[in-house]
Amino acid sequence: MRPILILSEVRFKKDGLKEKELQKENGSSVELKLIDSPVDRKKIEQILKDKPLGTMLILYTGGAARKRIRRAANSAGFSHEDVRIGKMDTGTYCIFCSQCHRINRTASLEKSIICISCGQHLEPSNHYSSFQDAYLGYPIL
Amino acid sequence: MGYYGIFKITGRLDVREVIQVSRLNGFPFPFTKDQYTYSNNSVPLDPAKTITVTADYKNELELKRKLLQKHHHRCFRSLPLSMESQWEIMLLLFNELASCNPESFTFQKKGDECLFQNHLLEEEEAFVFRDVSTIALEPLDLVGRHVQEDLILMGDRHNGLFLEAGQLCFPSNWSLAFVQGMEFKSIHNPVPGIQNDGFIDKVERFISKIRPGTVWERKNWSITVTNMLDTPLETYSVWGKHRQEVTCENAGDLIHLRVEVQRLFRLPMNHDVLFTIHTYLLQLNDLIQQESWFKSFYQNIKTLPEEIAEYKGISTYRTELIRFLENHMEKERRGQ
Ligand SMILES: [Zn+2]
Repeated sequence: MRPILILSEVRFKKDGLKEKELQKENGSSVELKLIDSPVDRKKIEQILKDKPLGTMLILYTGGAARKRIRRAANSAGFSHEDVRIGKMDTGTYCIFCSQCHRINRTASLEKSIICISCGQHLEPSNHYSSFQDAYLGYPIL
Repeated sequence: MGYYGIFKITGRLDVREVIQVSRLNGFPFPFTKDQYTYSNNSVPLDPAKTITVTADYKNELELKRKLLQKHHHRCFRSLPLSMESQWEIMLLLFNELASCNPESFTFQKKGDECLFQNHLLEEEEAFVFRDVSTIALEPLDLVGRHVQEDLILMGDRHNGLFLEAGQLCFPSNWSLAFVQGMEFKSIHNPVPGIQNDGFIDKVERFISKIRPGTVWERKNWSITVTNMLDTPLETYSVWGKHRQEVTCENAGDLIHLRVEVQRLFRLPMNHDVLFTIHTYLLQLNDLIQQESWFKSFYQNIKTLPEEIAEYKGISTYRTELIRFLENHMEKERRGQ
């Protein structure tokens, strides 16, 4: 079992805590660190500096913070797949347009949407990519 | 009556028939039982070959390169950490092409200096192993332009398998752009009735136990209502609509049995997994000429559970397809 470090912005604290409980139940050694927004890259590097090799990062943050943390993590020796995005209850979902790859935002996975980039009518699915942080939208013909 | 029967009666073969015979001969017919079953029916291959060169080589390579040229972002994706394994795959495939088809390809390596010659396409690739400045494309993207297979690289990390690079020109209704970087387990759409009993976990455990240097093969079938090899999710609105057009009269022309020969190979140097997909299409009109294939195909379609038919996209025209097959059976019975 690899050690897990959860980095959570204060506004996503609830989701971060839930993740921590879940990972604990799975038997992982897990640590949760709350971070301030906007995220300070130096501080993140400080946090990551002495983490053991093979540590997995799970992020509960917005998009801007995520980018900064990824960069800091990469320079601290973490590879791309060492960094995962947690599932957040943000009230909005991202839908990956399967026709043009644009990521659209929506309030519900139940309703179909029109892609803002290519105009395709899309049906959100429950197929989720933690890499894209988005659900796949299938075309409706 | 099969094509051999025609050959005997007419005593000569025109060009179209020759092509048909070789296509039927080389076609990897996927059904072994007269009833639908879903399983991870992988078998080990000896010799451990990851690719196959067929009579369609030139046509398919031309199509592949056109797609890469026009839709590169859709057909090739890679993460930076995949580079080492990409190099290993390039060397492996150039080697295999040359050693299995010496009349068509040659490969020489002196130290790190490499020269691959493709005599079928009259091309050569000269490069220095692991020196990116000597190649114009990423290694996987380069070697993929000399094989018919789609190539997927799965990085084997301590916590699972991840799709880290891929050259995918002939997908069956999926998107490389969406699944890149994803864990193997979550790449697949849930197959009805299969996710529940831990099937995907079993497959992942199976893959993670594959030993270096060995190749496992399985066949995966589906049906397309087009003769196109390139049916990515990205162009579903173009080819998906043909599903509505099938009638019991035109089914023989429109419907194609699509078989993916999928092979898994553990890279000896980097321990990642190479997944190759060779896609074959056979028009229904050709398939029904082979009596045993026709019977087996009919039984499988007939016994396909509704949710699997839905999953494979067959539901829309299943009734028309079955009627077409039964009409054919009736004609054969009357000796027409
Ligand atoms: Zn779109």
